[in-house]
Formats: sequence, C-alpha cells, structure tokens
Amino acid sequence: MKILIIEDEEELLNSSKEYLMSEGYICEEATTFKEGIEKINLYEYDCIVADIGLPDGNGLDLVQELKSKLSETGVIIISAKNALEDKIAGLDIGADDYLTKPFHLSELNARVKSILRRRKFRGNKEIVFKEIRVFPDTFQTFANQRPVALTKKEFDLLIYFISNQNKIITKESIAEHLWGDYIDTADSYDFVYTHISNLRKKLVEQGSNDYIQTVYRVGYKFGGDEAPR
Amino acid sequence: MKLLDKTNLYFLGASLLIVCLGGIFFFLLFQVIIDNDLTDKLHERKDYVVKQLTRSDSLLLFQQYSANTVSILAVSGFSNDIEVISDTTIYDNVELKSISYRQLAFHAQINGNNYNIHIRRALVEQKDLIKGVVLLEVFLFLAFVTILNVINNQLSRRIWKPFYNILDTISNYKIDRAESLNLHRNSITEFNELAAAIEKMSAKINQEFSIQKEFTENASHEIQTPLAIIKNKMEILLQYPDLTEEHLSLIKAMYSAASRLSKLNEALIILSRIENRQFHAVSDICVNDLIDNRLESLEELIGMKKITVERNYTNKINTKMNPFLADILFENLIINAIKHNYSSGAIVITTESNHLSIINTGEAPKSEPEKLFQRFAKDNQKSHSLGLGLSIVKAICETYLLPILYTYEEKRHKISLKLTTKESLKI
Repeated sequence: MKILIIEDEEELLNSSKEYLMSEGYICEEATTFKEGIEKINLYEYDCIVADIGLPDGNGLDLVQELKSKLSETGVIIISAKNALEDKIAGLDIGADDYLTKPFHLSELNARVKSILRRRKFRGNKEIVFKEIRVFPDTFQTFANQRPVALTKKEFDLLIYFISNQNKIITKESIAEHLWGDYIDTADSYDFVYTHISNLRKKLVEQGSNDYIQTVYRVGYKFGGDEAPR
Repeated sequence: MKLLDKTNLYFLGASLLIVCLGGIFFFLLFQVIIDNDLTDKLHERKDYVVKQLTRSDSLLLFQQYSANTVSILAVSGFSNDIEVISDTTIYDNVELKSISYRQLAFHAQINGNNYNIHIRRALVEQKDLIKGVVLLEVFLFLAFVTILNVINNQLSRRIWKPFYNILDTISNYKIDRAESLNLHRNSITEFNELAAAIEKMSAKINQEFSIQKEFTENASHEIQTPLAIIKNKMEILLQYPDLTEEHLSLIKAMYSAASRLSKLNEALIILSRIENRQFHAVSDICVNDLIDNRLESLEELIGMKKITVERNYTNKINTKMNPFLADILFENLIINAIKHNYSSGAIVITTESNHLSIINTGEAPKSEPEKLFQRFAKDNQKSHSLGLGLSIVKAICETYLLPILYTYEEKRHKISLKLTTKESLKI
C-alpha cells in the first residue's frame, strides 16, 4: 500500500510518515504543491493525505487534479481547525475524508485504513483480527463465529482498536474519535472506561481473548498478545 | 452637573458679588447726592429767609413754619457772620419720635436787627435709603438672572447642539464594527476641531484594534502547528517499547497539557474569528431541530449524569444565521447546562414565539452573573473547562445583536435568548 503525504511542515510530515510506516505502508512525501502535483501525475498511490494550506497552492486543487484523472486513489484532506468552508468544498470535489489539525496519529491511521478498505476491498469489507470478525457495512461483529451485540460506540471503538493494533492509544484520542470535539471534560475518560469495559466484557463472553490492555494512566493498547489476567 | 448649570452657578456668584458691591456704591453715591442737594436747599432757604426778613421785618411771617424747620431768634449783639452746618435730632411732638435734621445756623444783621437763625431740613433716614437700594438691587438681580437663564438655555440649545450631536455619534460608535467615525461639521471652530481630533483618534484606535485582532488570530494559527508537532511526537514517543510507568506518567502529563493548550487555542481562534466577523454565509436555521440534534449527540453525557431533559416547544423558531456559529451557539448552551448541573438534575428547554430559554438545576454561581460571560471566567477554578464557552456564546450573540440574559432563581440557572425571526441577518 502506497501513501503520499503532502504537508509543508516538515516535522508534522515526519510524524505522520513514521506512524503510517510503522503500520507497514510505503510512504512518500511532498512538501510543496508543485511537488505534490508532480508525484500525483507520475505515480499511483492508494491514498493521499493532503494539507490544504500549502504555501504555493491550495490543496483542494490537488484533489481536483486527482479526481479529473478518475483516479481510484483515496484522499484525506487536512486543514486548520474549523474551516468549515474547506471541509464542504473538499468533500464536494471528491475528497473521501477530512481531518483537522491537530489530529491524533491513531485517528489518521484509522481514517487511512477505513478509506483503503472502502476503496480497495469492495464486496469484501470484512475486518479480521484473530478470532474477531467485524463487518463495517452491516455493523455485525463475530467472535469465534458467535455474534457479539455491540452498541454503535463499542463497534466504532473496536474498529479503532483493530486499526491501531499494538499501538498505545491515548484516552484523549479515543474520546475524540467517539464523540468529536465537544467532550472536553474529565467525564469523557469515565465514558471511555465504561465503553471499554463493556466491549471487553462482551468479547470475552463470546469466547474471545481479552486483547485490550490498560496502559498506566495513558490509555489502552489493543494487542496480539493476550493481556495478562 | 451640567456644564450650563456650572457656568450659571459661577455667573450667579459673580452677579451676587457685583450686586452687593453695587449696592454699597449706590448707597454711598445717593448719600453724597442727597447731602449736596440738602446743603443747596438749606442755602436757598437761607437766602429766602433773609430776603423775607429784609422786606417785612416781621417774625410773624415765619409762624407758619414749624419751629423745627426755621427758628429765628432776635439777639442783641452781633457775633460773627460764619454759618455752621451740623446734624441734630429734635423730638417731634406730632410723630412722637426723634427725627434727624440738618441745620444751617447763621447770624444775620437785617435792617439793624441782629438775628440768630437756624434753618433745618429733615434728613432722609439711612434705614429708608438702604431699604430702597436693597429693593432696587434685588429687582435688578432677579431680572438679570432670569434673562441670563433664558439666554443660556437658548444658547445651549443652539450653540451646543453640534456638541451633543458629536457626543451622540461617539456614544453609539462601536470600535469593533470597523466602521470609520464620521462626525458632522458645523459653524463653530472649536467643535470642528473636537470632531477632527476625535475622528483622528478613533481612526488610530481602529487601526490598532484591527492590528491587534489580526495579531491574535495569526498568533493562534501559528501556535497550532508547533502544538500539533508536540502532540504527534508524544504519540510516537508513547509507542516506544520498554517505557517505564514513570516515563508514561511524564509523557501523559505533557500530552495532556499540550492537548489542553491546543483546545484553548482552538477556542481562541473561533472567538477571534467570530469577533473579526469571518463567518459570512447565512442559512435558514430551525432552532428546535438544531437543539434536538445536539441533545441527541450529547445523549450519553446527559445519561451519565442522569439528567432529565424536558422540552416545551410551543412553536418552532426559524432564524437566519451562519450554520457553523448556530451549531457552536446551541451546543455551548446545552453543554453548559449539562456541565453545571447536578447529577440527577434537570434541563428545561422552552421556546415561545422568538424566545428560547434553557433552564438547568445547579449550584448557585459564586461570581457575579455578568462575569460568567467573560473570558476565562470559571466559577470553579479547579474545573477542567476552559472558561471560554460562554464568552463564545456572547460573541456570537453580539454578532447577531441577539439579547441574551442570565439569571439564577430558585436553584436554577436560566439563560434566555431572543432570536431574530423576521429579516435575514448579515454580519
């Protein structure tokens, strides 16, 4: 899987690149609009993560250029916070998703995965993690072939976890993933805790191993290694 | 105290002083005039008496005069010719009181007879003179004050009119509206100078103000990138194996601080964008639907605090606003009602004609209600909230000129908002 990251801020670029590479993607970078256009025209990418506010051009034009080629490439546009106009414009011209700065890397990763799933695995939209199988389109979850009845939030949480396997995911990023921005109270961490306990309980009840580890004070880790009981 | 009253007071003081001094001067002047007149009259009378005596030689002629006014005594010897003027009091048998007289005493030799003659004239009593002068002065003073007042009032109405016009324009001027101040010119140089000075000053303030606003917004935007870098790097740092609990604690603390800073910054950006009127697009908003939407997305938060929500919609409120701002406005109001609520508390949302009120149970605010809308006003300093929610609400309301009111009654916080339903609003 090849991803192109277009971002003029070098350190932000490096972070995204490092995180996505650790997920096994091949990442290429462009720091200017010009470079981005060149790379889009020269190579095929599975997904493009493009910052809209580039010094030498609007990232939205990049998206337009890409879409004019009827490309299959998924596009995530990134812009400064609360530029609603950008969001609408971006999605209008065919961007698949939208992220605002600053974002959690785990969130970016989950969005990239989701786009790749939608774009590349049509008809077989199934996420498998060991004995757990998740069907994003029908909101069904199975553990050991047995259905698990999850709420919408627990379901989202499970996909988020599977997208970020073996990564420490902070409570903040989970809270933001599930509720968006308006949860900024300390209450939200209690929510996260409640949802995670429920998810854990429901999976274990259906005979799945407990893959959710609590990381001291920071958050959680969904790992291949079974958590010590 | 009005300028006019102040000047009037000074005028009054000055005129009172002038009137008093004038009174004394008048009094003295009158006295001198009367005195001279009296002396002249005495001499006239003297000539007359001498003439009469020369002609008739009969003292009987003078019986008709009161002994008080003319007294003629025939004397044997001739003393001298000097006349003496002096004041004297004589008891009057008719009026039964002492009366002051001026008398002219002289000696005359007429037709070989020697006479000692006293001619007297009653003096005007000082008391009467003072009375007259005071009466006159009081009359003058009252007339002066009345005329002064009339003139001043007319003047103030006419001459000060441009001043009040300027004052009116300035007090209605809003510096954050970024309009330049235009004051009317008139025929009075001083007021024109004042107008020019104020216009110059306001232009300067305006310019500084917009530079300041721009700076705030730019600074916030610039802060966002380094913050994003910090947060991302920490997220990567977290992924390192073999981190001890101590390491995790440290990273967590830094990460939380960076997150908080970034949220704060976001809120400040929104606030400055609202204040800089950067949300132009306007669309039809149904307030009730928007609130229902928000309540739905905050369902969990409401559920966790076991808050009951009551909706009393008597009608739907349709308004025109920027959709993004409308979203923030109602979201902030509802979150506020949840945050500052008791567990198992209640929220009552009412719409009636174009009024929206959100009432929630909760502890009494410790600070004054007006302060709640200020930036970083937190009732509970320990709370995790940023203290910007209500100032964003206020900024939005000010943008659309919507009156918003906060009250606390019977252990309930109430925020009422009057929405504009008729004409479309533009920022």
